[in-house]
Amino acid sequence: MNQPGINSSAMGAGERKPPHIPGEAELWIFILGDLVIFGLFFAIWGWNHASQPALFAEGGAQMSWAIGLANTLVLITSSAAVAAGLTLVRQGQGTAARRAYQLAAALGGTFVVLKVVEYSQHILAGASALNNVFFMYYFVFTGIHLLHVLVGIGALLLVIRRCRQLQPNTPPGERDVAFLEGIGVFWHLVDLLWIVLFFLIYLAS
Amino acid sequence: MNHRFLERGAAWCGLVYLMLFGMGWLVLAHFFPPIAPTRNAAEVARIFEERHVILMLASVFMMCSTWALLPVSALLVMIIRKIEGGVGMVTLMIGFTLATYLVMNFYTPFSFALAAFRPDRAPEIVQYASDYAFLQFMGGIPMFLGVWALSAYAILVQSPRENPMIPRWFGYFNLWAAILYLPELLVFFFKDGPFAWDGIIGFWIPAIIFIIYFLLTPFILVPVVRKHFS
Repeated sequence: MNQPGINSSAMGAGERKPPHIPGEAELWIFILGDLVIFGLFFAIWGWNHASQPALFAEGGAQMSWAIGLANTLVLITSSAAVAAGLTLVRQGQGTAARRAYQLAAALGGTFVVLKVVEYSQHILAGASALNNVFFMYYFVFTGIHLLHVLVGIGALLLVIRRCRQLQPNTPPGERDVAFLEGIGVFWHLVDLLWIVLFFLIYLAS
Repeated sequence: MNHRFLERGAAWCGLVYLMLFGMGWLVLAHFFPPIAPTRNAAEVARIFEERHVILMLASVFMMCSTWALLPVSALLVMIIRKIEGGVGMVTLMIGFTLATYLVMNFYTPFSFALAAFRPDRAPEIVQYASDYAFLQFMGGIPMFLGVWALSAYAILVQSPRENPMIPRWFGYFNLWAAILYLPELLVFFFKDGPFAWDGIIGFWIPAIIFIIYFLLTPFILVPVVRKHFS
């Protein structure tokens, strides 16, 4: 992101540059829309938790705290790698940036594998989304989140391809930066949503 | 030959479709929210018996809304063809998915009409026809999700960044709609709660997006026709 201080000091008073929007302005319709929907999911979870505390305590006890925490750390690290990748692109270091994005995508893949392990453990233990409200919301909300992770990994693969096309030691074009920022914003959204889910499902229950 | 009259009219037809369909579904049938999937056969049959004529009229309005959906679908295919620069994969795919959407748009109210047709029928059969309609419309996304997903692809990926035919924010809106329609597949698994066909995720969110989409269509399509069809 641009520091507003730099903008205002470089330009004369009265002709302030419009504030920088990461990605493109239109993308934020999608990001904010998604946040509203997940906000609704979180409210549904909270309301059900409050009305059936015993059921949610019992369900929460069956959650694998270790896998949940591992996934949280995996996504936070992945987000950091995406941020590092963007910085490297800005410095004209396309090859190093590609490695950072490859790490981010691999960590995304790790999240998916851990989630599948977790799901299969619950299913083998007899948990059902159909007759237990806790597991219904657990499977559906984390499933919709997992769909976002898969979309994000696909987007990161596009980013890796784009990094190959960058000229070494040359600052990237505005178009490239907007593309990388946009996908970075989406990946941070996926990370942020998971942190809230982790708190609600693994810690608060 | 000048087809601008048809094209200009088509740009407004999304709104006409919404009015006709809404006249049936909302104003006449009061399916907003729908009949709860937890209702038993006798209760469902009683609704169709007591409101027999009104529900039949509602079904006819909804069936006829297919006429208004037809021109706006054709216009959408033509716009995608212009974006693609010819008849390519996306043009064909959106054409096919719009065709199945048209079919679904007729058969949903047709099933309501079937439920209302013989009030003296066994309640289980009336419930069967009513279930058929609700499940088809709410769970029918494999037939129509492509409209939103492919529009998003054409607007965001295939269009140029400078002076695109359709504004990019509408592309993101389409993408958002496509993602939010996806959980509707859960209506097949739940009769109660937010994922059921009368729940917040099974009905309210998709219904509101559906209304916003068709309210927006004239604002998007009328300028496109004015600028690019002449």
